[in-house]
Amino acid sequence: MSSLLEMTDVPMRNILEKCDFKSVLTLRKVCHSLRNFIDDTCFKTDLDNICITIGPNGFSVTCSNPDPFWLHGIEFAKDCTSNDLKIILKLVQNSQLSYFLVTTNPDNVGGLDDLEEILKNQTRPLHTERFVMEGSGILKILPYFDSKALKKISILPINYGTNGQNLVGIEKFLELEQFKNAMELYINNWFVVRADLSKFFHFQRVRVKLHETSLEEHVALKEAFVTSTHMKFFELHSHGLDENKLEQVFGTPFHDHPLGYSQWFFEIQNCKEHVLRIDFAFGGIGFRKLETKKVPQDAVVQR
Amino acid sequence: MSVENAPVVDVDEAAIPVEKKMYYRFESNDKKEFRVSELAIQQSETLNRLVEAMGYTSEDVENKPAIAIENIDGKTLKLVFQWCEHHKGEAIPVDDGSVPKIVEIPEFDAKLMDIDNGLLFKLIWAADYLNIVQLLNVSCKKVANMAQGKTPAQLRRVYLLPSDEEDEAAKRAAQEAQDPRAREVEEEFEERKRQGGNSFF
Repeated sequence: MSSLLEMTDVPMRNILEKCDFKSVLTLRKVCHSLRNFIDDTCFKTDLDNICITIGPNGFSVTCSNPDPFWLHGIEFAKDCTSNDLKIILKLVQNSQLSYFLVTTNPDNVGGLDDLEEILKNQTRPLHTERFVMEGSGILKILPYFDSKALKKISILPINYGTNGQNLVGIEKFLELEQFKNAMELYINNWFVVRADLSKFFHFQRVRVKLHETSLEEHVALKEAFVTSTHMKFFELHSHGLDENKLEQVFGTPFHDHPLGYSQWFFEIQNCKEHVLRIDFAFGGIGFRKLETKKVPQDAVVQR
Repeated sequence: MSVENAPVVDVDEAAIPVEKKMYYRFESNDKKEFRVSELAIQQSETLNRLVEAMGYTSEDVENKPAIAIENIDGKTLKLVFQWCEHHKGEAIPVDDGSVPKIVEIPEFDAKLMDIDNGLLFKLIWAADYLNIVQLLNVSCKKVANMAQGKTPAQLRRVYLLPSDEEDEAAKRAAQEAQDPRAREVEEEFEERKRQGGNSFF
């Protein structure tokens, strides 16, 4: 055997799976035969993180394997065309990623539509544990992620947006399998979401700013928390949150926090190791599963 | 080659008669013969199934002809069996689909694979053919490591790969070898083009 090309498919795929991602992209440039094999074969790569920036002159892609922190990843492509991105994403679709980030430059023209088109034509959904993207654009991209693998979703503020903007298309977002199956959701407080609070009860951890919430909804959230085995953290911001109103339903608050938080403690059903702590300050309310031993001595844990 | 003269690969002769271990005889395509322990053979799924199916006794092993492995030459098979003897009794890794697959190359394997790339590719081919999972893993890892930080031109040299032009020429040659008429047709077409025509008819 005189050349790597004479290798049969199984060892060839084995070799490619053991190559770092940059080497795979370089191997594609060596000859037609190898390029065709890489493009036509389903194999996994060592990629862990990928960051796609949609810029005015095309796409830039930064990737890294699990060792270095993602910010120090290698830039594989700068200002590349959608065809180049298609090739990279085709290789990525077989990887089990930890992190997938998409950022957009305000001067980009149709880049998000191009990305959506590429993802639409992939043979399998992208497999990542965490997906981070700016604003409502997430709706175009999110359906192309494997809903069973996706655990965390973060929606960042758009860099040219303004505080208090509505998250457009939230109704569709709430119906996606990816939203329903995820365990953590962080929506930046720049966005105001118009949705029922109960839509978010299935998350382990969530941060969201709702347009408006009623006192009944806060009680429902507290009840969900004390009867749940999965809820760990719920940070809520909304109009009309008022300590006096909260006192009516949660009782007299405990004041011991250096920043002046009002706090309430509640037992969690069938759980002695943890309690629910509710913090209220600066117009936001936080529900947190807390180790029982961390409850201040003077605080009353309500039933 | 007689049984007595066959190269014995990494075998502890003193241990053989005591435990009455079974040593199978294999023959490469260039008629080199090897004696390999039963335990070492277990590293190869293909050979293990083969010897199980044959059901040889100790006498059969000595009296019947060596088992022919027709696709692998002696130089490669020697490396394969040296590896199997060294790693005999070790668990065979199961592919659980996890990625990235972390494969460390042990010192013995690194020394064994300190060979030219042509032979290394043959070793990989043999490991795949004989279904020796861990040998395939370490040898593929070695080849994958060679790619790190290389340019396409360097990779072409390392992996003995043809350029696109050479690749095309090789494909054409293979096509022609399969169909001798192809060259004639191509030549006829070129001739007609030179004459200004653009049709065969």
